[in-house]
Parts: sequence; C-alpha cells; structure tokens
Amino acid sequence: MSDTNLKIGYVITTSTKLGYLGAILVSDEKGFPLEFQYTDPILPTKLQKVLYGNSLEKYLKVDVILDNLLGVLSNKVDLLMVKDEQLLEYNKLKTDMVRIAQTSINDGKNSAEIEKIKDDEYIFQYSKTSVPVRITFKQNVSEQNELFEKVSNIVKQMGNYIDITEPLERVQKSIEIIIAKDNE
Amino acid sequence: MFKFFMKFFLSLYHEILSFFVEFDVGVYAFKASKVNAKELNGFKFDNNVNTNKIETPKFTISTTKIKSPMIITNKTPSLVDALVIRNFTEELFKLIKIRNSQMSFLCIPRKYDVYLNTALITSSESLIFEAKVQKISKKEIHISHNLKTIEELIELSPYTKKFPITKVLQIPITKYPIKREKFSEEQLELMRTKLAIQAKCKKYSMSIENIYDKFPVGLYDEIKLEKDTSVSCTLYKHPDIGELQLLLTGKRKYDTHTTKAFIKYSEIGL
Repeated sequence: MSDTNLKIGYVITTSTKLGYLGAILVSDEKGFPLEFQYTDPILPTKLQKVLYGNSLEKYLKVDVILDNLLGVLSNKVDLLMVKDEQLLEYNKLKTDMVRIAQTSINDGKNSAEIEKIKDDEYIFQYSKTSVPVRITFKQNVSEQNELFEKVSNIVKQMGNYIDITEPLERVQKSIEIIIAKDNE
Repeated sequence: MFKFFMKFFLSLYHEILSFFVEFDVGVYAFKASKVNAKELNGFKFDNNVNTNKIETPKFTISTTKIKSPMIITNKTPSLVDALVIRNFTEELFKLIKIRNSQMSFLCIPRKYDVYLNTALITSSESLIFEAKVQKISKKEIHISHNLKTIEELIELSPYTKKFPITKVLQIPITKYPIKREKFSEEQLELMRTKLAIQAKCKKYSMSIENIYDKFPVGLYDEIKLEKDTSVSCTLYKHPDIGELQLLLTGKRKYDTHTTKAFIKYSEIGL
C-alpha cells in the first residue's frame, strides 16, 4: 500500500505491576501497521535490584527490552521513534533513532517551521494543521546535518497523512490490552 | 579444645554461607537431609552418580559463570525429562530443565560443599526464585542419560512475541480536534456549507463544532464521535488511500442535531 516503502518503528518501554515490558510497532508512512512485537514482562529479582541499583530501569529498558525487540524485527526500519528519552542511550543501533513528543503549542504557525530548542532538540511544525512535535536526537545535530534532513523529510512526509505521534498511542493501547489479557 | 574451635568455626562458616545463599536468591533454603523426590516436584535423584566426578562427555565444557539469573530460552521444544549437568574444574554448574513448558529449574551449585539453589521460572518468564535445595548429598544426585542441550542466556532476557496485525488494526485511533484559527473565514464558510448540505438545512442554521484533519479517503473505518470531542476510528484492513480530507462536525442551531461531513483539502485550497 505504500508508495515509498518507508518503514518507521515506534517503541515504548514501560514499567507495570507485572514487570518491565516493551513493544514496537513498525508502520509505513501512512501509519498502517506492518509488524508488532512485544516482550513479556520482566520482573527483576531482589538480587538484580541490588546489583543494578539506580541503573536497573535503564538496563532493563535499553539493554534488555529494546535490544531484544530490535533483534526480532523482521522489517528493516528507516527510523525509530521512541517515547522515552532513556532509550536514546541505546548504542548498538544501526538505524537512526529519535525521541518524539507532542507539544502543547497550537498557535497555527506556518507549515514546516522548525525551531531549535537545544543542540539536540528541535520543534517541528510539520504541517499547517498539526500540533508541533518535539524531536530529540541522540546527539547534537545542526539543520544542515544529514540525519536532521532525513528526520525532517520523514516527519514532513508522514505528517501529510497522520499525526506522527499517534502510532505511539496505539502501541501504548496495545500494551494495555496485553497486560489486561495477562491479568485474566 | 582445637576440635571445639574447629567445630565452632565450621558451624559459623556454614551459617555465613547459608546467609549468602539466601541473600542471593532472596528466598528460603533447607538442608539436604530433608530433600527427597517429592520435595523436588517429582524430580528423582539417582544414587549411581558421584557428584565429585560427574561425567558429561557429550557436553562442551564451558567456563561460563553465572553473573545474573538466567532465563532458558525455549528454542528446543522437545526437552526431555533430563538433568543437564556441566562439570567445571573449579565450579560446578548445573542446569535442570524438566519437560514442562510451564516450568524449569535452574540450579547453581557453589564451590563449597554442594549447594544447590533452584530458580523457578514460570510460564510468564518472570524470574521468581524459589530456592528449594541448599545442600544435597552425593547419593541423591541423579543424572539422566538422556541428555539434550538447551540454549541458555546468561543475561536476563525476555521472550518476545508477535502481536497479530489484525488485532493492531482493531485498536481504535484517537483523533483530536484542531483549532479553527488555522483556517480563514472563507474556508470556514465552505465548511459550514458542507455541513449544512449534509444536515439538510440552511448554512446560517449550521454551526461548526469541531474540525479534525488528516482523514484520507479510504484509510479509516468506524469513525465515531466520542464524548470528549475526540473521534475514534480504525484502519481499513486493505486501505485504498485517496485524497486528504477534513472531518467536520457541526450542530443545527434550532434542534442541536449533530452532523458530520467530510471536506477535501483541495476544496478549501489546502
């Protein structure tokens, strides 16, 4: 169904009463789902809590859950969009990854306006009618950077059809369904 | 006197070890003398084996040490009722898996004496440790001759599962209204006209309630207005995506009847 075969991975990792778990949705640029993988909850033991201390959450989310999710994907994604900034610390990734979040700004700015917030963070107004999104990169990037241009183009292309943060909501809802099913 | 001190120190030594074993797994342990087949959930020990000289010629001897609790991946579906034992020169490492996809046992003997800690991994793959055996005598160890290797991960590792795309398609997509300030008066007039045609009333009798963007023709199904001004919809299984549209909701002023209508981007010059 896709004209460009663009594949975007949306990742959420979360902590529930069942343990830590994560899910990834691969969609095309119109938000149509192509693949969905999730992990079973991991409940760290007392020993692991002691051993990893404050870094337990990061270890589980990044090194365990994200690493496993990416390892089982059958689709090669062009860009990973994550909800949790902690996931940007994943360093084995060959695919580009950004954190994406909706802003509360809704002032009707012109289309495709980009505002630099920090060296690694920008606000994209990707279409005239959309609410701007905040995009955080793994590292500092300039507007002339190749990665910046790639992300900018993808966001603009997808933004014509969907609210680009919406698939993350779908992943979240899917996780809730999975948890509810596990609780049955 | 010497014997007394030796006995005392040995006792202390075991107490300390017991403490660490308990701390390690965070649960209870009990002495080997109490161990029998029943207490090991049906697992039978054979006294034909001398634990000091466990011979496992079919297995690769590895010096891998357990750094963290382990999950056994279930990639070998036909696990036998076998006890898999590996004999290390310095450290005895044992892995027991029972033919039951719901349950597996992990034994981590220590260098001192033969201490066993058993980890129970349930079907939900949570690492729930239940130390069943702290100490066991040589006579009570049994090794099945029907051994098979299983894959193991030294690090904590979750199972990953596929969620069917058909189920993902059933998950409602929520869309929220956008601000009407984004549109000119002329555009809003055209929208009101569209709603009025749909509601079969005059344009001035129609008021625009909400505007939702990005509703391409042929992408969304089951579009429903929610109480909180959002709209929920699902994706078509086989979408045939066409031109982009806005979804409009409006009310007839005289009877507050709610109407929805679509207007193509091209119709209002977007």
